[in-house]
Amino acid sequence: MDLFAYIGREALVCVREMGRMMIFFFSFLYHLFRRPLRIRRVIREIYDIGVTSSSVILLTGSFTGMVLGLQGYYTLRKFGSESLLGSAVALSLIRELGPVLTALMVTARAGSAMAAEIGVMRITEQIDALDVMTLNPIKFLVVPKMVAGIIVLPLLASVFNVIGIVGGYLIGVELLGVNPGSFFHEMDASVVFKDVYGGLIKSMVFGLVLTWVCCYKGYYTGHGATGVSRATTEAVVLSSVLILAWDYFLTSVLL
Amino acid sequence: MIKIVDLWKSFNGQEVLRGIDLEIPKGKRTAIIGRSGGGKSVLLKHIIGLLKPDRGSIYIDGEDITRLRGERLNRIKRKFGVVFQGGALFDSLTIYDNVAFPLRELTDLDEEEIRERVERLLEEVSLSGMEGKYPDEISGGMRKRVAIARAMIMEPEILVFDEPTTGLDPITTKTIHALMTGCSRKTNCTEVIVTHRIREVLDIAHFVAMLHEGRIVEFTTPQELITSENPIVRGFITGKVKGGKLQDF
Ligand SMILES: Nc1ncnc2c1ncn2[C@@H]1O[C@H](COP(=O)(O)OP(=O)(O)OP(=O)(O)O)[C@@H](O)[C@H]1O
Ligand SMILES: [Mg+2]
Repeated sequence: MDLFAYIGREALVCVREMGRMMIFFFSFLYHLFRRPLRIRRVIREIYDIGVTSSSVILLTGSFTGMVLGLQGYYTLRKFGSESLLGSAVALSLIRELGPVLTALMVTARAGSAMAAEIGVMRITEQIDALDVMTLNPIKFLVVPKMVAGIIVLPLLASVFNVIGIVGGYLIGVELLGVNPGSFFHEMDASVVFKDVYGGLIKSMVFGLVLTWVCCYKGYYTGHGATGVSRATTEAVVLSSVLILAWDYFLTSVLL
Repeated sequence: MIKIVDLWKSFNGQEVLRGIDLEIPKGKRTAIIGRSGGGKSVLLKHIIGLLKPDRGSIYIDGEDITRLRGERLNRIKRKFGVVFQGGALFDSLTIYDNVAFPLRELTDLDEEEIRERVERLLEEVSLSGMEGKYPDEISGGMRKRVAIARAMIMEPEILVFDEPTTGLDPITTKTIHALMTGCSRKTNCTEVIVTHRIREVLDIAHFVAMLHEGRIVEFTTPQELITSENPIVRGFITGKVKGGKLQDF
């Protein structure tokens, strides 16, 4: 009996949380289309996310590309089709790994910072201070972050893809001796526009999801320093899970 | 004028406000006293529209803010300047930017005029030369003064202070009192001060309201407060009875 009570209680908590998240999202939408737009704050957020995440994107991008070159080469060689390496590297990056890994890295770098920043502002009454100044905190803090996330994720994912392809090229062509002409020719022949914009759409959705979750968790943080640290952890975990779940759904729709 | 009628509020079953009735006169300085944890900050947060009551109304110049939303509520909120108990300074902004913040976000003044006004006000709270520092680089008393400057910069009609001088030395306290009296003389604003220092009430308040167990049990002038026969008030002032604890009288 206790078990059922427990499950029921957890389910209720879960449903309530989802409801609050949806309300949070709708108030984001509402304030998104209300003036003033606060472009300067959006640019500032784009800059913040970009700066904090770009070095880690460069690093993970190059290593991902290099390992794809390595793995792809040894797999493709079994079928005698090393020449397809370029297309294998590019397609896996553009369609899948670029958007997903970029989103995970941005969550770890910028998303956690967002949750912590908003959480601290909440517990030190800075959000209340904004409120009495008639600056709606959703409008003032959350909308710029979420808009910036939607804009900046596709850009970072593109950087990731380019660096990754360079890494794959270095390993495949320079190290393992694949013909450079066929590397790029196969890539050119197999990557179509749909792959590129599919990847970009994924990135935008991930940007929205991760900023939404991180801002939400910070906004409704618990009490004190432990509350903020728990909010930050939950933000990162939930964002990561949702990114991977959405990746599946988006892939099945976009294919 | 601020008029509070039968205000009730509870948090998770704990009744904090239990039928507050209070009229705060316009253009005067009214102190709210009461025990620590008695609900003074909660009452203030209702007055400035941050919390919604379970029951009751708050009229600011005749409009019931508990029933207003959106732009109409914002119009009332713009009458307020608020000094929070913890200061609530924006910790990622410098002192200068904190004080300039309301002007930048809410007015069309250019940077030149903003600089002039901010520097004049920082001078008044004797914080010139601190402009570039961040809130965590200055002392608690300085933070309070920055918070007061930020609340005053928009020259609001109603200034609300939550314990503006708690934990400060007598000299800083005097400076802050001088600021308040100077400000109200200049702009004739209404001031509400939450405090538990009787000394402060006697020094600067025109009226005083005592909050006890969720109700206003006394509303008088400071002179009458100290001669009051009300046992709860007596207990609070002398700090003897279980009614209250006396802090640096
Ligand atoms: N957001 C909240 N959630 C739950 N309980 C709260 C909340 N805010 C205040 N309380 C409770 O309301 C009571 C009154 O708190 P309040 O902060 O108003 O006291 P106070 O009179 O300002 O005390 P102090 O002089 O120490 O600042 C406290 O018992 C507190 O636990
Ligand atoms: Mg208080």
